[in-house]
Amino acid sequence: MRLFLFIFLFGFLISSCDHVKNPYPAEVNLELDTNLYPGLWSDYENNEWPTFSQNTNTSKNVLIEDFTGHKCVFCPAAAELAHQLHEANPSRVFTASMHAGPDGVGDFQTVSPPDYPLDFTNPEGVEIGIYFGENDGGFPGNPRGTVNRFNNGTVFQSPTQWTSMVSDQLNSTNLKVNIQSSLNYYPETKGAFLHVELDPIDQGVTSKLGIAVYLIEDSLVGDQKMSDNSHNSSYTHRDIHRGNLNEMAFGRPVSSDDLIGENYYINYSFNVPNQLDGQYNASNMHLLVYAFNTETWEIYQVVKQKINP
Amino acid sequence: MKIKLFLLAPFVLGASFLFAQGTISGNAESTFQYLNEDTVIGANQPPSKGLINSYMNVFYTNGNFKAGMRLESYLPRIQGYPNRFDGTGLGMRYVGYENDFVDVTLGSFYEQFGAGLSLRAYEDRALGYDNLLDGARIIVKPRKGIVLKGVYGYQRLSFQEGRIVHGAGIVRGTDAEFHLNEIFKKMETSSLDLTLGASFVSKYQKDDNSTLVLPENVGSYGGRIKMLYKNIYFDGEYIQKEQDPSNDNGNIYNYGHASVFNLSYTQKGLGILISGKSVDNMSYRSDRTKDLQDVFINYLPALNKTHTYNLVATLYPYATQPVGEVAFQADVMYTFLRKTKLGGKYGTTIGFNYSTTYEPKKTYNSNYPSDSTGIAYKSTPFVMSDSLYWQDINFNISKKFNKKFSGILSYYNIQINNDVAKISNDAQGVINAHIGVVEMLFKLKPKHSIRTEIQGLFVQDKDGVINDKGNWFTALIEYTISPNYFFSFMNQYNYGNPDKTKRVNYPIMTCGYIKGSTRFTVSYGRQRAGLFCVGGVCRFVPANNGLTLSFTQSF
Repeated sequence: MRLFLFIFLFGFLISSCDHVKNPYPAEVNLELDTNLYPGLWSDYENNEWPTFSQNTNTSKNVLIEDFTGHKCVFCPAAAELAHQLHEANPSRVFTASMHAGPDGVGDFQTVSPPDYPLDFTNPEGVEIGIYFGENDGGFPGNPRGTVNRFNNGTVFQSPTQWTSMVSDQLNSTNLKVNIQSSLNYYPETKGAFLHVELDPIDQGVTSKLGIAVYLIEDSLVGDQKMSDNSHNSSYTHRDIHRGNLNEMAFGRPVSSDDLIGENYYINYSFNVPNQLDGQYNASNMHLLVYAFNTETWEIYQVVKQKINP
Repeated sequence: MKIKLFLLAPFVLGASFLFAQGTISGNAESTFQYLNEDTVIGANQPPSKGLINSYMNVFYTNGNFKAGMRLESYLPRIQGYPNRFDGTGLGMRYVGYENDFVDVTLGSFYEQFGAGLSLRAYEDRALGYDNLLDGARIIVKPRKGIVLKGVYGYQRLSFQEGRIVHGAGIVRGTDAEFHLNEIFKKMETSSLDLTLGASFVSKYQKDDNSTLVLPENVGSYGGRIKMLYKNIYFDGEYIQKEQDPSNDNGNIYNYGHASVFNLSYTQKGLGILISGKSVDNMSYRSDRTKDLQDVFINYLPALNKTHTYNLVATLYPYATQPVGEVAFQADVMYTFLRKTKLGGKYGTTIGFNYSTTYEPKKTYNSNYPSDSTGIAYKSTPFVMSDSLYWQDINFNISKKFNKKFSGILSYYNIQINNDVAKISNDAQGVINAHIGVVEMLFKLKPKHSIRTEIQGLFVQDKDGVINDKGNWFTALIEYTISPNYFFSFMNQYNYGNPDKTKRVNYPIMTCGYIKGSTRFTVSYGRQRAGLFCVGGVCRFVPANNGLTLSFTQSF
């Protein structure tokens, strides 16, 4: 008798019901340039649009924003330090060389032909420089930088603080947001689509959660004024900040419109630009995707996404 | 050639042996129509001129083994049948095994849980309705008084090119029924007979909607009770359905519910029945995109008297509103005994019936659909609004005057809300009709009788204008020579149609020959367009003019 009742109850279980709390699917912001896909957009949606598996990462990564200039004599040393910190933890520490000062474009960043003919600045980098030049403790000039924009009294820190701050961030167990990204690049159109998943591990951060994406040129050999005031025309500039996706210097806050289930999904389309020297090489570009606190600017997590691996 | 015969021999012999051992039963039915063009009533002649529906059921049992099938043929289908029926082939087939403990069926089967509010798979050929389940069913009787059922299958949606076409969703269900008087020894001799039951049904259909998050598994569940105490009988059932956005309900995410109860009292010469039904958002189909009578999983019984007289039965029938209705019915039948003042020499029977249906009262969600719940309103079982869907007040008196003459006098007042239960394209709002019927039966001599019906239907004007098609008159005369022959002639006359060109007669003559289990019927004449309903389930039958031949045979 019990056996049959068990079978009957089993029938209930196999025929369970679905409960829908919100019948409307979260609207994915699809302000994408679909022309960058060399085919029918429906094919992209059906075949190319990525799905993310469970994000099992537990490590907090670090973004060093190195505010620099090609005529800043102490900047090569700071850049070298940042690069060493990256080399020590290549999958967790990433650098963005921001060619900007507290006034945006200062003497260190101006173009001075014939020795310094190349303009390394871009509008978003300049806007960030100007903002932090006046706010959140400001910064006196180059070289200065931020480590996950952690406010250690001030957001901007001297390079002498970077090593210990990077170490602190790497050892932090307080990962509040996880990030996964996926990118589809199409050489035919020089276009790419970036898909990002933000997983707010700490739900307390969601009300002030923002996302920004830096476009970074891996390296370029060019002119740099060195610490001995000499002109080095074969200096390797690394991790050059070329601008932000969607031209948003401070990214944008995420909202419930981006929410699908418990995660936020944000999508971008963009043209991969030429290098600063005018050559086209998508393999020399990558993106840094980071989630941050829109009030304090603290970066919760950052990941690197190659464009043409 | 010889080799082929040799190879086939074991199968032929095996089949002969198999069928020689068991029992075969079944029935056959065929309806042929030859239709004419008739522009007066809007009847069209189909390109093939002739139409035919044919069926044959064959059931085989041998010990505990059972098998069955139904061959169907639509070449092409007769008028009014769903337009997705065509070809010849197997419309139903199954094999099974059954003993006192277990009954297992694989293939097509019909099933009902309780009153059918959660699940009813059945066929009504007159309606062209067949929502059989194609899959597997098991019925277990673990001990006396307990019946457990489990079903799993796709539903029949249509029949095309001689093959069953299934609906999109899978239906799963379990049901348990406990007859307490058989289970508990203490209740064996109790005058209270008590049966309890519970059922759970679920459907699965893939969510293929890009604008809504649709539940792919939709469940319905509930319980029922049956009680018999001396002359009093009561049964009741309540079923709740979970979120089931569909075409029927405008993709709302409300839960649905259905309840029905019947309370009756009978004693010699007196029968009283009180019934109630409350339905809200209970259209439950295995394909959420379907409509009309397609792939209903459940059945919502109509709570009104099933009429038999032509005008009242076919002009203004009521179709159940699965989206929502609250209905009540009272039915009283009383027989004045013989040799009393009102009973006379042979007794007199009077019947009274009242049924009414209203829209459920709904408290609407002012934020719908801008909020994220998808819930459009709230409703409570048996709480109704003042929006009338249907009302039927009728009574009849049956009296036998002498050995050769008896008669029935009937009156009906029907109000039907054509804006909701749409019955006519010519009517507006509530149609209010009064119908009177006089039926007389004369026994001329042994085995020879004549039956006549005189019917009048009078539609009340609406705002001073004739509503719908106006008044009708019907006369019928039927001559029967028992048990083999009958001949009848009926004419319906729409003499009150506001459009004088449509004041048309619909004469039809029918003859039948019956011999044993064989029956032939021939009819010729006009049939008007209208809804044909059985138990609240309806199909539209277009106007036609022509010859109809039908044949039925059981074996």
